[in-house]
Amino acid sequence: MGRALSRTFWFAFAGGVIVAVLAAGLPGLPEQYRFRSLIDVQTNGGRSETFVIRWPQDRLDLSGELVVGDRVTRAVAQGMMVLDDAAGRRLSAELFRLRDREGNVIGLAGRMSNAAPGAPASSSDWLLVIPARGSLALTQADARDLTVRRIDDGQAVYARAAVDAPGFWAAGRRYRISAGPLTGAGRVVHGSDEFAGLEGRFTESWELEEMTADGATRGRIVLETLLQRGSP
Amino acid sequence: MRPRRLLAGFLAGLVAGLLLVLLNPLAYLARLEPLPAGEALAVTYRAEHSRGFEPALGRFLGWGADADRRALTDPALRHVNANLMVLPGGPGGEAGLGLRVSALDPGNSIWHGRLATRDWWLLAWPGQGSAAGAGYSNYWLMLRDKAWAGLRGKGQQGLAGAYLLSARSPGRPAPELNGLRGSLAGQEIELREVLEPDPREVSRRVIQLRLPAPPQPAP
Repeated sequence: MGRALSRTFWFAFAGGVIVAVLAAGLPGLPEQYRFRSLIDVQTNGGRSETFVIRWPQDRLDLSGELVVGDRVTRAVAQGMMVLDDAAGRRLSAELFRLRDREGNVIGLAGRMSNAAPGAPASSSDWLLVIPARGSLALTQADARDLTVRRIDDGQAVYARAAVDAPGFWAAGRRYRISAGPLTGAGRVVHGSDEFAGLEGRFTESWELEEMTADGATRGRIVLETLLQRGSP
Repeated sequence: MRPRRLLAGFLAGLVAGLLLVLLNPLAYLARLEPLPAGEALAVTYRAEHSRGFEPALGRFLGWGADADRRALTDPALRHVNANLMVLPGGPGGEAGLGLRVSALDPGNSIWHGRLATRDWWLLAWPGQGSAAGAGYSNYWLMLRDKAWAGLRGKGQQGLAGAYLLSARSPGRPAPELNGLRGSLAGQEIELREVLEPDPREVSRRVIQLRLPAPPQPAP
């Protein structure tokens, strides 16, 4: 009798263990949503893909506040950060949503721009992240100074993007930003996941669509990449 | 008597099975070691300026993805977190800026002890240059301790002082940055991230970077 009961206990125990372990595998864990990749294969080798960022709506507002001296900077809420020093060196970071050429939001894009004291133009690095596919790291010399400026009005510290700087659009409504040695192109230096082993070049253009009376702008940044398999 | 034994055995089995899952030995197989303090640069930050999901158990299981006010609601960004950060010290001792995007990893599995994110980094220092790359952070041990501490009513008191998040991701290279410009250009930089839970404010994170060449002082 006792042995039978003991066997009952251990059978039930084993059942409990199996149920608990199987139940742990039941929840369907989330997966990244993936849009169809819009890639064009080039006749002379490689592949091209165009990415678009619309400003101001694609800027990613972030939580938290940064205190500069005794004032709070609004830059973080605008998805921007700036480091500058008395010597005039400036490093800025910006975060955007990233779209494919059909306008679907497919990922995030981060830009770091770096300007030396007195230099007329900055240099920039991009990190393009498409969660379902991987990332691309891009670097280039810019045709203009694209660093974000810190504006202190005595009450608060704001960030002002280059697109909204006074006089920035005085020479036209479409600027080619890439100014690198590769006939005005930047370099795609590194890729991860699906982009691993790919390298190539890219061009960046800014297109102004609207400017309001108070100087605020609306437009798009176009990044055209041409990628091919790098040397092993 | 028999049904009571049956129920007791089943409940005991459930608890034992739950413990087996929590103590999942597979979670330890992909662990990496922290970089030795003398060989790596340690940069500390708090993920205060962020947007998107928080690394909590519910979010890894897909619960409440849209409930968070700070969530990114675009379909492709629902399981993504983005951070901008000031890095107080870097190569050459200067402050820099960092950007990290994390997404729930498609290989997550409770059976394998993997509740992880795929992380992408872009770091820059004004006088030194910049680097970008990818990593993989497994939050399993921290979330397990959190769940266990919660069951015992201990809250954050039951957590360890630090958790090495960086882990080996199946089929991918170890966490690494590639130098893009400046003195970092062309360098391969080993990366680890350590999370130090803080019950009072946003947890501290430490990025460990091992550069093959010693950093040059800023001009």
